[in-house]
Amino acid sequence: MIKFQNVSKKYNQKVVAVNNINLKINRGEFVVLIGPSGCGKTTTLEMINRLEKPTSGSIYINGQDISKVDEVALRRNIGYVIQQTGLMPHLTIGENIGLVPRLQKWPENRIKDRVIELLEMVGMEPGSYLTRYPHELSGGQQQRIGVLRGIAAEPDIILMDEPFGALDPITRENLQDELKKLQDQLRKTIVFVTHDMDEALKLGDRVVLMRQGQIVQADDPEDLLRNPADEFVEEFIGRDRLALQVETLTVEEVARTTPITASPELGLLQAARRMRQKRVDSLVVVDEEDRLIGIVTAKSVNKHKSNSKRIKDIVQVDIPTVSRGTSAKTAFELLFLSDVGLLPIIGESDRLYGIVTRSSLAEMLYQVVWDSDFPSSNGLSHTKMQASYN
Amino acid sequence: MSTFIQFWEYVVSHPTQMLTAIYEHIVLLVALPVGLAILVAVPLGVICTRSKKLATALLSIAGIMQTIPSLALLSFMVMLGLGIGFRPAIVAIFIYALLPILRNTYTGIESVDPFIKKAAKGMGMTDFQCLIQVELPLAVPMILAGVRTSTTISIGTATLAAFVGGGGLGGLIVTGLRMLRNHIVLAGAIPAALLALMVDYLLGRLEETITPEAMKSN
Repeated sequence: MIKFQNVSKKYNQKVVAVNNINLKINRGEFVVLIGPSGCGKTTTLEMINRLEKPTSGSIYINGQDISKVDEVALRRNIGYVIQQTGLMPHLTIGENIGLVPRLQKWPENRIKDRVIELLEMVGMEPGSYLTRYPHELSGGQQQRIGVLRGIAAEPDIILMDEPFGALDPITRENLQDELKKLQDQLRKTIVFVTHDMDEALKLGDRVVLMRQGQIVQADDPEDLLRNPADEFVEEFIGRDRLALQVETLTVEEVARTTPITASPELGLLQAARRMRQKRVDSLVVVDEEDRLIGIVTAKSVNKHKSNSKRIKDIVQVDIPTVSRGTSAKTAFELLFLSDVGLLPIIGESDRLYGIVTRSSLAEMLYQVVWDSDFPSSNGLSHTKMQASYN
Repeated sequence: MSTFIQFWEYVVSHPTQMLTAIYEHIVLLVALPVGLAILVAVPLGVICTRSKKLATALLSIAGIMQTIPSLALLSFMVMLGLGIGFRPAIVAIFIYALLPILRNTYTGIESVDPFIKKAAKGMGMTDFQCLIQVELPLAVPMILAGVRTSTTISIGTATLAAFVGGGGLGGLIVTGLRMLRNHIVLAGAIPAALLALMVDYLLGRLEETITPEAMKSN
């Protein structure tokens, strides 16, 4: 649909804004251009509707070199949505939305029908909004109108330059959801510029990360997160890894594989001593084949010390467990719902694989946030960390 | 006090002269030259926004014209062969009226939010459509402010037209001065002053009604 071929843009023959990029955007694809400011993402976008002209290279839309197309006609067939809405303050909402259809000389009644249809599509009552002016609307509503104006003339391609950049986080998220829904219905080819990685990952079918006028990586969000091309990419997506890793991590990756176990035949006093020695407050009870039986906690051992003798008399068997391969997120959810401080993970042939404790969550957070291993790799703190399962 | 009574008696007893002077003042010495100035300065201001070099040149020329004392400018006009009477006065006032309108048209268009201009262009407006549908409507309040300044200045400057035989309310002032009749001076000066205040007020109101709600706050 859109093809960049060796496209470069220099300003004053010196400053290189875009440096030899090649990019193919497919029909119906939602492509997000992202990067730090000055990376050339907006320039790239604006070359598509010829607000900027490439210094060298060509851009093709449907196989046609756009430098050979009349720029006004080209722009009228490409939707354009910019930050801070760019709504005309002296025109009503209806006139603003109908602007491009009017430029394309649609008959007035068709424009009116289209405007009403669009307003209804985003749940804005046409009767009360048509004749109002942009300044009477909230920022979010204004930007909604900005988006409607961009799609009013039913273009195949829509360019969006940080459309939600100036909005508060909640409104921004609402509008992102709406845009996503809209896109599911309309399947337009959208090129979207942002500097917000959350937004890019949420909206894009493909995320194109740019730096110093070059494309560093162009991948779908999942691949971008899993295989960042280099340190720059990693750093750029860093802030967001927290949320996504929790989604993608499996329980093995956060598991402790050397839990303190006990046989059901173990005496209660011995159990109490082992807990003291290992500084834990529960033991995982397994049979001789390492199959899980249940859990005993220090609390119940103390309670039953006088009237019972062995672990098998007081072991809690009705506890939640997870199997290997479960997502870490599910595991933590179960863990917090149960009153036991640990969650056994069951491996092949019902054998105990390991456990997840609340401190596993802390370790994982540490890794994600500080991007290094938890200091538990040295012996001393390891014991300490294991010490309090609860 | 007696001067004011005499002034009033003069006004009442010379209605034709008064009305002629006011008519000449408003129509020939203000409306005509300011009208011409609008016709010339607005397009020039628009052209200036399309060429920075021209803008600098035109704005400085108009600025220099503005600094020439009005009586001197009037005399130049006579010396330049425009003769005496209304002609040199109209030309001089016209020149004076140019700058405020030119400058405000230029600034008015220049100060339209760049995002709005970009949106207009990006949506496929031609340069001319952008000017007519977006830039000029948004610059109107500013342009009108320039017209208001020009008009108010012109009403004052027009009183000097009488020195080159230009008539208007200045004619009464000059006559009164020559004859040492203060009440005749007042018959010219008071209406001229009231006229200036009134026109300034009316144009101010017009400016307010015409400014889009959205632009009033900033």
